[in-house]
Amino acid sequence: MPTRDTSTEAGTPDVQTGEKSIATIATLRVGVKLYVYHENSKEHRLAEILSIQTRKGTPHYYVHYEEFNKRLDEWVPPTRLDLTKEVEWPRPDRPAKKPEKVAKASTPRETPTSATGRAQKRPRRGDSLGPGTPTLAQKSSNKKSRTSALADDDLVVQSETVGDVGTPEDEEVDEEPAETDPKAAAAARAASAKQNGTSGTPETFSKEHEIEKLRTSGSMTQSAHEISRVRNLSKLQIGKYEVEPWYFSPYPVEYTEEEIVFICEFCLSYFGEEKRFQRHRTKCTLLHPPGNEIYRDSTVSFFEIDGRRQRTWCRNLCLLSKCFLDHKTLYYDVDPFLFYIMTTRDEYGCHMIGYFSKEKESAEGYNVACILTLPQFQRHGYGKLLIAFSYELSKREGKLGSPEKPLSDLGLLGYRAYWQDTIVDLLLNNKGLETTIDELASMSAMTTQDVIHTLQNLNMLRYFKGQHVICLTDAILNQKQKQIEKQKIKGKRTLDPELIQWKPPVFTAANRTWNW
Amino acid sequence: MTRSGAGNRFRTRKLSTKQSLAVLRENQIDSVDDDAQRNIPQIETGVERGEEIEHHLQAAISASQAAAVGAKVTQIFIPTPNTTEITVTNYETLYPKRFSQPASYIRFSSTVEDCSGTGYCMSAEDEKFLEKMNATKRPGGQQCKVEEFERIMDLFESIALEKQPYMSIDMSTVMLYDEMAAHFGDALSSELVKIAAVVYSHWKEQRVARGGNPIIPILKFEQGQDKDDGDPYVCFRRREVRQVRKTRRTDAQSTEKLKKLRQEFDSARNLVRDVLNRECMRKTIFQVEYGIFESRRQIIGVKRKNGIRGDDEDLINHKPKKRPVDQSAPPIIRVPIRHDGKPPETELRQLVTVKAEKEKQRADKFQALKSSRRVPKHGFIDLTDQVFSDSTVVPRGPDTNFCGVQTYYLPSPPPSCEGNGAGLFDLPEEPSVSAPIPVLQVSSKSPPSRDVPAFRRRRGRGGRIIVDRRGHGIPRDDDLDDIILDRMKHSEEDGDYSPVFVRSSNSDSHIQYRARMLSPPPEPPVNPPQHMRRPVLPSLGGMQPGAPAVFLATAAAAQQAMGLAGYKLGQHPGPQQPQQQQFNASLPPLANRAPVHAQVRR
Repeated sequence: MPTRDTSTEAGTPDVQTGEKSIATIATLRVGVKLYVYHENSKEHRLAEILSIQTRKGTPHYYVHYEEFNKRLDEWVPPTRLDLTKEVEWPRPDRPAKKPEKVAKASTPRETPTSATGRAQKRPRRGDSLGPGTPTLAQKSSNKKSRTSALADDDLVVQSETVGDVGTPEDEEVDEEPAETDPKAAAAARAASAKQNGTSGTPETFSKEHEIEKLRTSGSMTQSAHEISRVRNLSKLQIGKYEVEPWYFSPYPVEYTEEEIVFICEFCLSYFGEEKRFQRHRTKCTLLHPPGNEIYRDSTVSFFEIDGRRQRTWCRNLCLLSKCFLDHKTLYYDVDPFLFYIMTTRDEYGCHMIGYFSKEKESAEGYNVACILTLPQFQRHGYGKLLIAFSYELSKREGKLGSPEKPLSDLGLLGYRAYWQDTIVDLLLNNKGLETTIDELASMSAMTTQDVIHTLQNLNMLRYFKGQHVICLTDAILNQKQKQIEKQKIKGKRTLDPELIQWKPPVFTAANRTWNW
Repeated sequence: MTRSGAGNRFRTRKLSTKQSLAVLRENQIDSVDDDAQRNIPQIETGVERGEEIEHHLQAAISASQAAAVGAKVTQIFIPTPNTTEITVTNYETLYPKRFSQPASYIRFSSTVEDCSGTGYCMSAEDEKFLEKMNATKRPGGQQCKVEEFERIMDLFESIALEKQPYMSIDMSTVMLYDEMAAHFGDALSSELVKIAAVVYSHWKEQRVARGGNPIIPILKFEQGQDKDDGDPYVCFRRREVRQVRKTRRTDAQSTEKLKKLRQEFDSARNLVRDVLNRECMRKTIFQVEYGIFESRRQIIGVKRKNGIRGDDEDLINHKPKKRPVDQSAPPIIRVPIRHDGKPPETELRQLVTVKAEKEKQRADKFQALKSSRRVPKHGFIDLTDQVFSDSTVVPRGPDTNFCGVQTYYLPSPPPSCEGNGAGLFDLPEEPSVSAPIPVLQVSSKSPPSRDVPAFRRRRGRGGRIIVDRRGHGIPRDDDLDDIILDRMKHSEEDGDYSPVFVRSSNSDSHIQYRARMLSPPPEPPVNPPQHMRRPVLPSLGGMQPGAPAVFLATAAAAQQAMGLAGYKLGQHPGPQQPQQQQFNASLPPLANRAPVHAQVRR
C-alpha cells in the first residue's frame, strides 16, 4: 500500500497542457492521470480520475484504470494514489482526442467561468457530475456528501473488494453484452471523452452534433454524457443476491443516494427503501416474466415478451441490464424489441437468469440486440444456452443471424466459444469429407462472415495443394476432447429444439413501428 | 508453419463461401502456404476499437489463440465486480413459495401494473405516521389499514400528477385538500374520505420534502426540452414517427377524398335542413289551421248569440283542400328510366327486331302512300315506270344521283329558304302560289344522258352548298397545246407541277358555253306533258333571274374528265334536313318550262 504522499512540493497550481509533474492531493482534479494501486492485480496502474467526492473531509476519487474495462472503475481513498510519480495533467483544450480511455479533456483551473470556479471552491460537490448536470443530480450528490458520508465510505470499501474473480469456476465466461450501432457508441464515447472532467461548461462542444448522430444511427443509442461514465448505483439486491452494478444506469436519480436498491425479482420494479420494497412484495403477484413460455426443459424456461405490450416490465429489465452492459442504451423506448427471458424454476417462481433482446425487424439481419446473463449466474454455462437459443430462433425463421455490434469483451468471448463449439461439432459430424462455408452457415444459422471469422480465428482455414481446406487441428480436437470429459463430470447444458413452441411472430406495419 | 520459399507460387484464389472445402486433419497437411491467409478477409472482432486493447480481453484472446495452436494455457477469465449470494433472512417472507408449474407452457399477458396492486408502497416514515394516526384516533373511529392508507396516498399522487403536474416548478401552491377531494370521485368510501383528510397533511409534508416531485421517484422522461438530449437520466424516449412518404398521387388522392367527404357532408346537411324546413312549414300549417278552426268556432258562437241561422258547416273545410299529405307522402322511389322509355321490367329489345320493325313500318308507309297516290293519278299519264321506287331496292348507278336540270341561271337560295329547314330545291308551298299544280315527281329509271346538263347539290363543310354540274362541262379544248397535254401525261412523277392551260375567254367553246347558259333552255329530252309544267313561282321574283352564277371552275375541276365543277353558292345557314330520303315531293321548277327531274339527293 502506498502511503499517502504529501511530501511533494507545492505541486503545480497553474497546470499546463498534458504536462507531467508532481501533484499533491490538493491539486488533483478530474482528468488527471496518475498511478493508483489496484488491489486485485496488486500493482500500481495508470488511472484517470473521473470524479472526486469528499467524504468525512477526505476526498475520494473515482478512477478508471487504463486498459481495464470500465467495470473495474472504482472509488479509491487518497491512500491508494501514488503521488511519488509524476501525474499527467489534462489538456486544457481538446485536440484530436484519443477515444474514450485517454480522455484529456478538462477545464483548466484558471478558466474564469463561474462553473469551474464553483467546482473549485466547493469540491464537496461531485465535481464530475458537473457539466450539464441536472440540478437534481447536483442536489443529490450534495446531499449525499453531507448526510450519508458513512454510507459512502461503505460504498468505497465495497468497490475496493473486487474479489479474486480469476478463479475459473466453470467452462466459459458467459455474459455477452452486445448492442448499439458502433457509430452511436463511438459518438457517445467521443462525447463523454470530450466532456469528461469539464466540471463547469455545460452543453458545450458539438454535443448537438453528437446527439444528432445518436438519433439518426438507429436503434438504441447511448446516452452521451460524462455523468454516465461514473457508476451511479452502489448495490442492487435482486432476489437472493446482492450485486454490484458495473456501469451507469438511468434509474431515478434519487436512488443513487441509496445504499441498496431493491429490485423485485419478478416484476423487476426498483425500490430505494426496504419498507416500500417489502410492501410491494406483499402485493406483487407476478411469478414469472409476463409473457408466453416458448421453451421448457428440465432446468430452464424461455419466455417471449413484446416490448410494446409489456412496456413497464421491459423498461425495468433494460434499466437493470444497463447496470451490466456498457454499450446498451436506453435512449429510446422498448417498443420495437422482443425480449427472450431465460429462467430457472423452483417453487418460488421463475427466476430470471439472463435474457436477450431482438429487434422485431432488423435491417441489418441481427438476431440479437442485447444479451446478458445476470452477474450472479455468470460462468455457469447459461450464456452459451442463451446464444444457442437465439440461433435456434433464427433457424426457425430460416434466417442467418449475428449479434448486433459492438460486442463487449465478455460478449466476444462468449460468442467465440459458442461459434467454435458449433463449427467444430458440425465438422466432426460431417460425414462427407467436404463442405462449404455456406453449408456451415445454413446449418448453424450463423452468418458466413461469422463462420469464416471462427475458422480463421481457430487457425483452421489453410491453403493446401492450391486450394483452401478446412483443417481440424490437433489442438482443436484436444480441446474438444477435454471439453467432452469435463462435460461428462459436470454435465452439459443443451437445448432441445423440439421443445420450442414458437412461430416467428408477424407484426403489422403499425405494430412494428414505434407508435403508441 | 513453413514458408515454402519462392517454390510453389500458385496464385491463390479468393475464398468463396460457395467453394467446396475439404475437411482434413492436421496430419493430412504437410506444408502450409502462409500466404493463403492473405486472401481470406480479415474480419473484425466486433468489439469496440478502444476496448479491444483492454488488458483482460487481450489476455483472454491470446490465451484462446494459444490454445487453438495447441499451447498449454490456463483459461483466463475477465474479472468482474462482485456478486454475493446473501442470506436474505427474510427471503421466504419476501418471496413466498407459491409457484406451481402448469402442465402446459405458460401463456400470460397481464402487465406489471395489473399484478402489483396499489402503486403506492408505504415507507417506514409512512408507517410511523400511520401508527401515530391510528393511536391518536378517537376510539370509536375506524382504524386505517395499511392498504387503505396506500390507496389514499396513491389517489393523492395520481390526482396531483394529473392536475398539478408541474408542482415541482412552483411549490407555492400545493393543491389544497378541498381541491383534492373534488377529484376523489367514488374512489374512496365515506369512511376513507374522513381518513384521507387526515392523511392529506402527511402527504403534503412528504411531497414538499420531495420538492414537489412524486413521493416515489419515477423515471425521467423527456420533457420536450433541449437539455433532455444530453441528460443521461432521461430514458425511453419516444421514437420519431416515421414520415410517410408523400407523393403527388397520394396528395391528389387524399384531396379528392376530402372533397368528396365534404360534398357528402354538405348534401347530408342540406337534406337535414330541408327536412327541418318542411317540418317547420307543417307546423305553421297546423297552427294556421288551428287558428282558422278557432275563429270559426268563435263565429259559431257569435252566430248563435246573435241568432243568425245558417248552416253549421262553417267548421268544416268546404273544399277539401289538397292536404299536404301529398307532400309528406312517402318519397317516390325512382326507378332508373330506361333510355327507350319502357318500364325496366320489360325485356330489352334487340337491335334486330327494332330494325325489322322499322323496315316493316317503312314498307307499310310506302304501300299506303302508293295506294293513296294511285287515286289522284287516274287523270294522268304516268310516264314513269314506277312512281314510287324503293330507294333501297332500286339499284343506283353513280349517275342516278344527278338530276337533269336545265336552267338559265344558277339559283342562289331564295330568302324564304333560309332558316326554314327546306332544302334548296325544296321550296315550301307558299300562299302566294296561285294554284297548286299537281306535279308528278319523275324519276327516270334510265339515267339522263350525259349530254343533258345535270346538277347535284351537296353540302360541304361549314354549310357550304356545292352544286356539282355535269353535262355542260367545258368541251374538250382542241386548241390545247399538244405539248402541254403531253406534259400532263408524263407529269405524274412531279406532283407539284400544275399544268398551265392557255385559255382564251373568247374561245369558241367558252362563248358556246356562255351562250348556252344564258339562252333559254332547250327542249328537254323527255318532254313532260304540259300539265306537269309549272310556272315560275312569283316568290322567286326576288332573285335576279339573270344574275350570272359565280363561276368558280378551277383548273383542277377542268382536269376532271367527268367535267365536274364546283359552284360555290355561298353559305347556306339553313338547317339540314335530317332524313336522308328521296325527295319525291314536287319541286318548284325554276324555270317556266323546266321539267323537273327531281332526284335530288343531298
